[in-house]
Amino acid sequence: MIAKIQKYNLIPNAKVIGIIKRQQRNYCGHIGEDSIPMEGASFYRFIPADSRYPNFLIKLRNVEPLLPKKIIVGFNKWDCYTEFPVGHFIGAIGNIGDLQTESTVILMEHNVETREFSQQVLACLPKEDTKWQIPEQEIKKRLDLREINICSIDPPGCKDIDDALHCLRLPNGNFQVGVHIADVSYFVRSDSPIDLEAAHRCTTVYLVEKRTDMLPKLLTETLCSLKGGEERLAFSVIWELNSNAEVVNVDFRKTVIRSKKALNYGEAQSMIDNPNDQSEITKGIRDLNFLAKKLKEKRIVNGALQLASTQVKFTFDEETHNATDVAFYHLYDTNSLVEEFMLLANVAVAEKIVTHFPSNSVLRKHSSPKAIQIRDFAKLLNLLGHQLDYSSSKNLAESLDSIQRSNDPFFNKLVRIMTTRCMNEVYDLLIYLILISINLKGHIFLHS
Amino acid sequence: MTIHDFVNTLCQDYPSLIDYLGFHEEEEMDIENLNKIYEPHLELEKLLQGIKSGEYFQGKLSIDRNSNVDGRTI
Repeated sequence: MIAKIQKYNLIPNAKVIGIIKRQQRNYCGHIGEDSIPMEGASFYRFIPADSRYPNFLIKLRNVEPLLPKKIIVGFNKWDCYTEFPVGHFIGAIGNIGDLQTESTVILMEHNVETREFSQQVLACLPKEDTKWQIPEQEIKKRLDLREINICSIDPPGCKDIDDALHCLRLPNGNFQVGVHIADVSYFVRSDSPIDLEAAHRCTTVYLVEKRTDMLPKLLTETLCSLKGGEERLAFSVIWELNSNAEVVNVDFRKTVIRSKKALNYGEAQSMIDNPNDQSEITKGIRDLNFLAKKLKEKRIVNGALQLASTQVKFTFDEETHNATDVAFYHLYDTNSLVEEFMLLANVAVAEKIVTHFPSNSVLRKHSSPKAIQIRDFAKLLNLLGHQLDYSSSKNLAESLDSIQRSNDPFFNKLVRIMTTRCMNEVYDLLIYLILISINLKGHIFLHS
Repeated sequence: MTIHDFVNTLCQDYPSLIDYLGFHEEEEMDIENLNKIYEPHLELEKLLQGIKSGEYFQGKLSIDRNSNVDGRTI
């Protein structure tokens, strides 16, 4: 049979005939208006938020207070005699349509852990809390880069600064460039309670108005945030690049840094655009910008994909914290700058890991686009008179460049956005939309 | 006195409390008179036998979030 499937490219059909083990979960949703009255209590229709599930029947005595609310329901059983499964009421979350309530529903439905960190986890943090200083013995073990003009460039209002950069001109005309990543491994030891909890949470989840953390705030916003003026432990990739942005050599070190300034993209852009600003930091960022442009050119020549997503930013009301307006994020040169060096760092680190652990490296990879999706999208574009060649990364890149509509500059961007949707995501918990690009080795790196 | 009875006595002041108690096992319904809407699943023994013999396949079912027709088993 398998041979037949392969020969005719068939998709086998199957039928579920039994359940070996059920997933343990509860369901968020709301109550429908219709009911089946019985003695004392009535059966009501519960409509789960996740449309993949059927409606449930739940028994309630007092439905009135629950009608305007989003509730949580547990599963009981589903006999073959009942059209719907039977469940039971567990609790109410809040009013339907309320921002807090709906956010909670989204997080619960996506299995995002939102509880406070346990005492066990918090016990793994340094006792000195925000007053913690780097111990002298640790500084001695590391490369001391505290005097170097390192700075970070992030979105405005960023509190968890995880990367910083520097660029120096070397006597031989080449550049020394460093990418410094906060050294979280110093605080999060393998198999400790905090490590296990982070593994369970997997990632930080960004919603419009809040963020759920993988690690406690003490780390994400203070001890592991490369704040301006503060000494921090870092893991650094340091290159010597020539003026063609070619790597002459690369080194990987545990370091101590003191970032001179935490900038946002707009600020950094203003600094480099201002001809009167000839400070060391600004000159360094200008050099990074120059090198970044060369790096980008090279990637494009090698078939890198330039995808897009509509990165938006929200403005919030001071008091209610409700989003009041939304606007397209403006992308500066400095956004691209940071992206290029993070890509370069990822590639350098990947190459290093593979050299040392050739048979079991954990690398980040994106496979080719989802076959059915990209095929359907290409068909759609055909109807509009455009060809989408997705046979290879480079062909796709060139195709995307050529699909233009006169008098409609947004059309090309839209095509790129839709192509992005056909890609296999690394994570689909990231609700915050991001810019993605594929480098010459076929990896996709995500940046916010 | 069961918890159920106790909560019942409170239902004047806290009418919603009883719903938090959870499912109370129903009396067995008259099975003969009911129609089977769905084909019943096989018993666990039969399932395990079938998997061993290769007749049945075991996997984790996941359904695409955006379409209730697409799914896959791993």
